[in-house]
Amino acid sequence: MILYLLNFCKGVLKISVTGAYLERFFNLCALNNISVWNISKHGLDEVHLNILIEDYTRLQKIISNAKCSSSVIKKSGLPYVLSKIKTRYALILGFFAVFATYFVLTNYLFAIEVIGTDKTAMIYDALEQNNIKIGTKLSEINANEVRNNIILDNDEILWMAINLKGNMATVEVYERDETPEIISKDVACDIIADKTGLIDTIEVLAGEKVVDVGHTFLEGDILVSSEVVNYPQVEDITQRYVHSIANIKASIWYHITRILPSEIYSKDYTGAQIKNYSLIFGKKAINLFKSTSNEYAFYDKIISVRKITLSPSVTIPIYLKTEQYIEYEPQLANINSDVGFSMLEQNLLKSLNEHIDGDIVKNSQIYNDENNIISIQMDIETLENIGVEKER
Amino acid sequence: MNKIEQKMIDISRKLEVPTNLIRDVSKIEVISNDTVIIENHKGILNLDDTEIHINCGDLIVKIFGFNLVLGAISQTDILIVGNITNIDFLR
Repeated sequence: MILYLLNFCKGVLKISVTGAYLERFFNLCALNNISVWNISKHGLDEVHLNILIEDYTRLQKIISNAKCSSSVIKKSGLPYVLSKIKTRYALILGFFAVFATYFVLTNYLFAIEVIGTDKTAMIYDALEQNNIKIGTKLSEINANEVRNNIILDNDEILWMAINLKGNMATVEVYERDETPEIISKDVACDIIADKTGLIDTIEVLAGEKVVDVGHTFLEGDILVSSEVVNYPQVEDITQRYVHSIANIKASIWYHITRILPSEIYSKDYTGAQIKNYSLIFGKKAINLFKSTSNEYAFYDKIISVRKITLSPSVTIPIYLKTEQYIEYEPQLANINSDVGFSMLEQNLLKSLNEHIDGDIVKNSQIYNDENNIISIQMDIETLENIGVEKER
Repeated sequence: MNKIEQKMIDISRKLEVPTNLIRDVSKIEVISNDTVIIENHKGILNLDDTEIHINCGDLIVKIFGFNLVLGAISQTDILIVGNITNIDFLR
């Protein structure tokens, strides 16, 4: 294969040699270091063979010495291909245009993708401030330096990476989780109620108990005070302040109402749909469809914009926008009251469980199905850990 | 074969190297009965469909068969393909 390619690059001639002294001809070829291959015999005194173009001049002398005659049957190889296309200016121009396009596509940034955060606008701004934007030369981008700058300038970003692949930049961002404010153990603080309820158990490890088991409290009331009175009094110091610590469990009551319409419209898709395509170049859009209107009375409209890529890592600055209209017929459906009650109850208990730090102890429900409205009223009693630290 | 040649053959055998490396002789390689490659040839003496004679210096190799074709020839190598029935060596 390698030999074939080398010969193709140099150029190959298939010639016919006729003469009575073919042995002499071949011996002279060997003597003059002319390689001959693909020899096939055609009759008693004629052979067809392949030689390199560069050997043809020397071969002419050998042919005359061996008293033979020759004629060229076929010319092949790169020199002939180049001589053929030499006058085809459009083809040469096209070749250079492709080469220039390839150069531009692989040397400039054409797409930036931000993943891992919702604050994409902020990341794009930060990248632009550090000279990473569409059209920036890839060789001018120092990804590590930009990454460090952005992390140092933005406290919200914990870690980020700028991966350059082909002509795309993928920016991976990990945001910093907000840490809860922790009051130092050296600072005096009270424990206050974050909900309204009734104390079930209270275990104070530090501080002075203000409420006791069976006491009711409102949201914001102090449950454990940081002020501790000294008994007996030592040298006029009557009180001291501590960082209160306590485990408090309290009964909390919730009264929640949820409603659901018993008649809802569902979508019965007819199967008919229209797709409109358009190409987006920068801020200009070229529609590839005639009319923008559709005949559907009820429809879902789905718009998707897809980046056109030559390969997973090489993209071009053209987007394909697809507008899809899917027709449906609205169908009125009645929800069975039992199913509705069950759905509402399950949803309510699930959402409540996600928001409380404890267990549901009791619950009672009142169901109602009137005027096409299914409703549920629930009284729920929970046993929860309560109390938050508040600096004095 | 003179004394020097005989000595060179002995040396090459003791050194366990092919004799064609230190002597000016041809190497003839036969692959099945359809290909013969001759290295270090001295020219073609006869070229025919049924009989090809190759000059290998102090030796003439006669290849007999049918549909014999000279596949390629260069300064040192000759490739012969075809249905080979017989190879004679003439000194």
